[in-house]
Amino acid sequence: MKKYTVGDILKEKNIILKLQSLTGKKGLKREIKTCEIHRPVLAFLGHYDSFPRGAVQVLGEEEMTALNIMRKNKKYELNRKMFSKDIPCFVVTADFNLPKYFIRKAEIAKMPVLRTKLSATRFIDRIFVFLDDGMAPKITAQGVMMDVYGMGVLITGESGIGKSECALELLKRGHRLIADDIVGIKQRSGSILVAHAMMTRHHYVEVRGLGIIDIEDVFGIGSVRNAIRVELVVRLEEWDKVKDYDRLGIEKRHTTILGIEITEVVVPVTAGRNLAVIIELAAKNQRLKAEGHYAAKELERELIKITKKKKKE
Amino acid sequence: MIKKTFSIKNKLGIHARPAALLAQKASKYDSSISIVKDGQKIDCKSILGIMMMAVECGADIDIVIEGSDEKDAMVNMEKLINERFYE
Repeated sequence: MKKYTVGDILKEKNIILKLQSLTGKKGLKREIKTCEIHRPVLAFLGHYDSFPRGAVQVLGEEEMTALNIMRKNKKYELNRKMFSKDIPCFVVTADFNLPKYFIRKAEIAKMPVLRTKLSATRFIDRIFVFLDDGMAPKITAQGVMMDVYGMGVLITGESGIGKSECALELLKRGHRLIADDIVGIKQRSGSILVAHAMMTRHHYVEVRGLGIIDIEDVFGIGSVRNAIRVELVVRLEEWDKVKDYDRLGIEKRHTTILGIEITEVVVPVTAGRNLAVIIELAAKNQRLKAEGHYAAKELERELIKITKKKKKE
Repeated sequence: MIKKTFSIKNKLGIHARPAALLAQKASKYDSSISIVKDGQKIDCKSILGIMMMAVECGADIDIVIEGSDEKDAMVNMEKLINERFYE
């Protein structure tokens, strides 16, 4: 998990935040502790309950109105709590002009106040995506990550079971590679897992006997992509005669990655099984299941209808 | 399960050739062998995995081995790393 300071977002060039500091360089080392964003309009008017302190405080039209009310009504006063040390910064959006006394108070408390041309909604949208991505919990998984018919499939299994060979066959059939062997997985907000390559510039695959192959060179730019949502895990296993494999596909099986349940299919490997075809099928079947089509359930319904009819006769 | 910490002394860290040697050696054992660095765990039988870790000279790595031939595997992995991958 990455840590951000106020200075980091001020300097950030990859996303356009259009920020400038109104309080100079003071307090830029303050840490942003959460990707949540807070609008402090209620806090301005005296309500401090459930005030998220680690969050960036965004000031828009509502806050400007609140500051105006405060100016006219002596009942309200900027509380010192608003400038406490654990609040990272204030960001004034839409180029609003802050009252001078506000900036003076901020300067005394060494609290950075930034300003952006963007509207509050646009700014919140951009900074949330940026912080959420950087602060997302991460792991690395062992396996091959492929885009099969637009669905992110993570192929796992022990070393030497044929994951990379399977990936090559899938590539030949027009599917795309995200990463081989070591896959970075991030948990984005909304229980979404996003898989990405560890070195984004190249996509390598190791084939025993041939060595390391650059997939982009061999198959072309259309055969690779940098990131995809993980929607299915296919685990390749050596065929175990004692073990019972799923024969119907009615039950839902899961594996857990970063606390999120992902459908897992266990595919036993034997000579003569075309794994790429099975994985293509698994991806298509998963899409159908997501839409509520279960072949086995439909067959079961038909079967019961027939047996009931026979019984009557 | 056995675990041991090693400091990498090769000038160039674990680059292509040492990575290949590690993966080759590890693949000879039935035990699962992994390398852990900065909380990142990698299968030592995967050459790409090892290389993607980009282990630099002076870095500390943990070798974690679990399985029937773990002791024998650790002895040989230790030898390989301590001999600086014969460089």
